[in-house]
Amino acid sequence: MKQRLAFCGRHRMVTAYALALVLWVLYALFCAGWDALGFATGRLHTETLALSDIPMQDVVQDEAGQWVTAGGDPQLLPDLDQAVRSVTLTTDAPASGFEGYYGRSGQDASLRRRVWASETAAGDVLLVFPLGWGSVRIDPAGGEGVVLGAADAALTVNAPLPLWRYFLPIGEQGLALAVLPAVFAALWDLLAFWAARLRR
Amino acid sequence: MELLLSLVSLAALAGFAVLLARRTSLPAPLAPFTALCGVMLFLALGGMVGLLVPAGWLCFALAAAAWVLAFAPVGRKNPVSVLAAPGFVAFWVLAAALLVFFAWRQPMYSTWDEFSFWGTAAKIVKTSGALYGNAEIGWDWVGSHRPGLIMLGYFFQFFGPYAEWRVLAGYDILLLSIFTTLTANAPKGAWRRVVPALGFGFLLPFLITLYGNVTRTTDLYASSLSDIPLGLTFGGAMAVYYMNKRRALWPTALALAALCMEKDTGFAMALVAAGIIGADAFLGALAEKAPAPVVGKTLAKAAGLFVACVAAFLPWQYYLAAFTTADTSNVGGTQQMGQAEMVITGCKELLGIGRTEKFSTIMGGMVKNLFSTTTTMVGPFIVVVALTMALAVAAALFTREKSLRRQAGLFAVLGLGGFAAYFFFIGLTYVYVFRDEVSDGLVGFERYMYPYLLGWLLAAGALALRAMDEERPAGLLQTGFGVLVLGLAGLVWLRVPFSLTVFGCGDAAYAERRATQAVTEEVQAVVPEDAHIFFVSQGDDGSRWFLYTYEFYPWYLDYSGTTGMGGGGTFALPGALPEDTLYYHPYTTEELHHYILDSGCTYIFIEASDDLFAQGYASLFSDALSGCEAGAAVYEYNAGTDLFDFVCNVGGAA
Repeated sequence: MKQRLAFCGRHRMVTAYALALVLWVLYALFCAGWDALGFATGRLHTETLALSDIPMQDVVQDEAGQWVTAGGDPQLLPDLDQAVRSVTLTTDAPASGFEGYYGRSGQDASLRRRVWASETAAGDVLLVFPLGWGSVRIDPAGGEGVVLGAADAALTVNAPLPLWRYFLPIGEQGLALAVLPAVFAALWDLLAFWAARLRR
Repeated sequence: MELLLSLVSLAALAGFAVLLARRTSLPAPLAPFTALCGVMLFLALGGMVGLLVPAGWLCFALAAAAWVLAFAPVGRKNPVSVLAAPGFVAFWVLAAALLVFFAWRQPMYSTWDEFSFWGTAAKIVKTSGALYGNAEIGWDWVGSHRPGLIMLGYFFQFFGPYAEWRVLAGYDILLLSIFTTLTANAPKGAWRRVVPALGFGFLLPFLITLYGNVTRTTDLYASSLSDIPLGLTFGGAMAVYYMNKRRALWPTALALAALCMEKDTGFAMALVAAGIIGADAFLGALAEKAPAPVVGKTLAKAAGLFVACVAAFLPWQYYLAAFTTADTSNVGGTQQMGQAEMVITGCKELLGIGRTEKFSTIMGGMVKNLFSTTTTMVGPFIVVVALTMALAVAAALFTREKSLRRQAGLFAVLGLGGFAAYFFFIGLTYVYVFRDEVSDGLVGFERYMYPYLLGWLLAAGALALRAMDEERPAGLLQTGFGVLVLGLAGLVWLRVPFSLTVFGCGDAAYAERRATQAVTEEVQAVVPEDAHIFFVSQGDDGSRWFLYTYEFYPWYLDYSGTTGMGGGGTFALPGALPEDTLYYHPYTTEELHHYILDSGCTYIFIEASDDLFAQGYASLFSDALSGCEAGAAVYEYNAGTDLFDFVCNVGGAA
């Protein structure tokens, strides 16, 4: 054990990143387990919300009944009674136009609490939100004239996510994984330096 | 595949760097930057003699040979352990990670200047296998357009197809190599020095360049513009000198030559750096009471720095004059002056000889901006100057090395003088070069000042980091520097949402570019490659024209408009708009018809039509422009009817 600790002390950077990786895997497994528990206990459930039932801004139905963005800042503001982990929409609109904001109920949208959409294998638009947030806002496009779907288009909230999805960092989690271990290794090295110096 | 081929370029760079680290006295972390400078110069030279592709092949062959030579059991070489320097290792890991990330993220160009030169030139060079000076394109190149950074992009996509992300990754790898120079003296495992050093370098562009509204947050570390590389190469040239205890001048000479090849203003900055380092080397030899031959040799080497600058600067001028149609006789702008004439006239006005009100107003405004306008994240420029001075003073105070104290003092004094000279030079461009609407508001003032400040601050950081080698009391400067970098990182974190950076942005950041790429592909599918295309985008200020010129290349987009005002704009009958309307092309129907045919265009790409265009020119089109009602459209000339026939709609309308 002592030898292993000495090895870690000699290879602080590698140790810091290995530790971060382990912590990340544990966190991802925790999130997956917590969601599974939520589905089992009813805290989370998959629900389908017709666009017509969702409060929205700058999104209208055209003459053909299609949902179309109609202004500079289109928004879908689903009012939900459960935490939101994912939102899926079957649409021909590009996934690149979608972004999601999350926060506590009544909290203003912030660029710091934003996630980007991705396209699923089936061609749907998928937004995955971090754990523990109750209120979401979905901006489906950056401008007007984007067709979101037919009259009966609907959002699917909290469709179960495949396990591998939990291992993909969301937003700033990626930055934290990339930078924090290096900062940790530097602090560790600095503390070790001062400790050695003070011992002398 | 593109990623693998870019990694081959990185491996080639590694060959040169490993060779330098093993066979010269250069500390390993200085090697990647030095090697990249050499590669840029070598390829630029190859391009100028018309042998760019052979030069590329030779470069990669030399890289392979460098790998062999670095480990060949002949001659004297440094132990393999020199390659384990933490900064050196970190550089390759970060560079490879960056390539992987960019291959996935696929960042793209987005700003005007990228389409009007930097990006377009990179595309031309890769597509044609030759320098851009004589490429068939709708505008004339100007002398300030230098090839150093273009060659950098070329190196990272020598194998495989052209891709913007590969060019952008090349730029970032250059920046990484410059940041790595700051780690040159950190011993193995000293992450307390390496991480803050790399962090300091990485944060500089955020701290210095974001507040002037000239850099989009998303474009930081995803831009092919020259300003940031220029500034950091300037700093890197000084850092390779200060971080090398043996004070070798040849890596600096190489870096200064590369700096001169990055942009024309790089020459002025290179002279400043050559002055600071040359004086340092010479005074160092004097202060250490070196024998006269050594002092003379040092003086000659210092003079060699200036020679390197001139040797890099002049051949490009000769190349442009002899082999291209680019205008090298003046610096452009309103007064049509040569650079020397501009400086002489400016100095006279500074001394009060024939001083104009414009000179006084502009210079006064610039000085005021220095103190009052928040131009960087840490405050006005004067705060950056103060921070630079503080780092130099800290280096002097906390080092045991007498010579470093002298170096820090000289750096502070000469750097300040250089800043004043550079500041004055930029002022002159506002007085004599820019149009009144630009110079009156000092538009882009920050952008022109950023490079110097970036480089100067980086070099000051290098001095502080160098002082850590023999600091007194031990650990204090390291801790202070770490706290400073942590504070700066906190500032950037608070001011810049991660989702607005290239590292955290979504596909939406490039959605518009992808849409124009899709339109371009549709047009190219129906227009032969050798055809000339006339461009109509009503209301355009030139940006759409430059964008589509880039996208279409090697298809040729015509200048499309009145002399000096073409390249996008509004076509309308004479009198339909006030005469002084910018980018207004007043043609009668017949005149436009003749103009299009005289320019050799057989296709028209109408990106955006409007009532003015329809009212004036519908009769030139067999469908009276009804095809444009659905959106962007392509028309083809029909010699039989002498009209343009509708071919198809493109983009969303297709």
